[in-house]
Amino acid sequence: MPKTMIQTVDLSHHFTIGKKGRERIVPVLNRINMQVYEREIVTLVGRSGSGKSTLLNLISGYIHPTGGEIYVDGHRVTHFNEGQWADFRLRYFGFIFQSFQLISSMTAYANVELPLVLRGVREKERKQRTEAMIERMGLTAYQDHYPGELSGGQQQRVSIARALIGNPPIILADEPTGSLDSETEAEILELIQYLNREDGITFLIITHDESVAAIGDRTLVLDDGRLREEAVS
Amino acid sequence: MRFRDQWKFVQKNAAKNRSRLFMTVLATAIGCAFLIVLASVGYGIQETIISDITEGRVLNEIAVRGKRGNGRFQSISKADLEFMASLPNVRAVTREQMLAQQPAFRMEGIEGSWSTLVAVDFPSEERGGLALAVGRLPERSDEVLVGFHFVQHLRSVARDTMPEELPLESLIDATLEIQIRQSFAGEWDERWFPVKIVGVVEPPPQEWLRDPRIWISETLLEEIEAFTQTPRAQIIPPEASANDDERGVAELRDALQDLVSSDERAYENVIVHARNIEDVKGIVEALDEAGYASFSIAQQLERINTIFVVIRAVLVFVGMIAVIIASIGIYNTMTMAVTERAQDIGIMKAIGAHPAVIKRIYLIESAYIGLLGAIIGVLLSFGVSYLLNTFMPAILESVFEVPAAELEGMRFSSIPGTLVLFSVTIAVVVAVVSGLRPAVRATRVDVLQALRRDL
Repeated sequence: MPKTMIQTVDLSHHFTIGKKGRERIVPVLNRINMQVYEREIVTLVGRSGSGKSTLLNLISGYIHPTGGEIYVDGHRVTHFNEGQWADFRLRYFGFIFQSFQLISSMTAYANVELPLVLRGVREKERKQRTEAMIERMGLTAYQDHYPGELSGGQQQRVSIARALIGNPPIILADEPTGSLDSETEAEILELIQYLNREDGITFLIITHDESVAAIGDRTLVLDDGRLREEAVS
Repeated sequence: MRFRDQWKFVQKNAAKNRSRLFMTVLATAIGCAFLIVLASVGYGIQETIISDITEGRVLNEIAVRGKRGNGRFQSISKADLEFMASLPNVRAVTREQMLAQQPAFRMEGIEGSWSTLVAVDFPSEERGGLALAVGRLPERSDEVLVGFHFVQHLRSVARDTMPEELPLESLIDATLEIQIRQSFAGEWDERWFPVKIVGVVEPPPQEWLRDPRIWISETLLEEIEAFTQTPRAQIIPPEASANDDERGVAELRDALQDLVSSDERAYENVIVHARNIEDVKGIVEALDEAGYASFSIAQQLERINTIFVVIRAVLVFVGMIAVIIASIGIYNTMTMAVTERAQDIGIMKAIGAHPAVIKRIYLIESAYIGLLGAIIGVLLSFGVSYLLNTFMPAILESVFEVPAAELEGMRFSSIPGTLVLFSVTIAVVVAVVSGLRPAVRATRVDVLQALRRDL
């Protein structure tokens, strides 16, 4: 039985909108129960507004659920405070964003190194690990470039390198190829599969792209806040 | 996150908008310099006044002017001296008795028309720390000391016969004859008292004071009084002495009888020497309690220092206004920085930056601005202080026609180390406090908003 890396139990969330006294509750997620196992690539698909981004935000700790529980690697994270979430994220998660989210004033090297800096890793060790990661991602020639000087594919590689540098067991990716051309998209997907296969990293990927969804071991479908279908690819 | 890396972050962030950083640091530097210069004027004037008061004076001396009692002010008697000497931590009690006549003298062919004689207790003077320029203290009643300016007095009476340069050493062992006069039964009588000069007293600490006196022993004074039959050799005019029944003469004779029988002498320039400056306060309190009117430089300094503490506090308060104005600049700069870097902060938070680390980075940046401003401000204030001390006398002299002599040795600004330390601390603390709110704001940057709801 593989280890459960992410588990949600009756996870619900709603947003409160409108002015005070005239608030309106908008339900987004309704009693979601899901598991993501170790070394799995799970893709999460759904129409726009189905709640898939909200689900990922809840698992990332960027927002707090209004109901239910979240477990990551057996830890009940639902009631973590901001500081606890920060430490937990740094240890367990790597993030890949659609628009890369690199710090524009930092070079590719500094962006990749950032999680190690935040962890307080010594400079010598940081240098070794960052150089190795940059080389692995084929970015050596661009390590001193700023994000604005890199192509979309190169930026996403930097972003992936940053996600991987801390050796997190889980990578959360939101439309990782959403801003890339088809050729680069294929390249990135291949890299994700390689990292899953070789490094045993668990991936939870949000996408509305069928070709991305196709790389998942399982595909979860979110429809109108409910997890209606679980397809195995 | 290591402090070194946080510091690198701060440096990188600071370099992003150099001109804004420069202006903020400049405002802080000016504020800090203003604070220091303002307070330094207080310190400078205080230094000038205190140096004027204490010029050469010994801080552990307490002058006792007299005693309050029976509704009138009484002079100091021998019993009083004994009481003072018995107080704890008193090293010595020195006193003087001035001769009531200014006798003529002669010394190795030089004749002087008048001299000032003062009787002292040499053992007490020795314990009190009387310093001699040359020679030794008298050991016998016919040995005397002379004041440092006695030689000038000699020169003034024997200009033609004395060499221009007469070393003080040449006075030692010289025999001096002092003429004491008194009238008896309407006729003048005189007696020459031969004494030997054995030492010359150091000059008075105050430059403007002259000491041409002859310091004699109390025993010699008693011998003189035995001849004149009056206290302190007070002269009785011949017309009065012609008639012994006159009231004044009778009183004087009675006074002398009292002196001899009860030892009730009146002493002048009574100085109580404390063992240490710290003992002065306790001794002054004991003297005050016993009804003595006393005065000490240490006590006066304490009062002056208290006044200047108040003055400096007011000046520092005024100077603080400039620092507070500068802090508004720091607050503004840091708020702008947080707003501009909201996305970077959001990304850092998204990948796991602890809110405390983010807060610390921005507080370090504020402190950095404050410290940089304070360092420049300190340098600036030293420059202004130097200019004040250098050019202020000339300005006061030419513009306000203040005599140059009055400005001599005057300090207009003085910056002690404590003021520098205080100002730097204030600047850094004010900077950190100014940066506190922006730093807290940085920790509250919404991740999703910063990522433009990308995830």
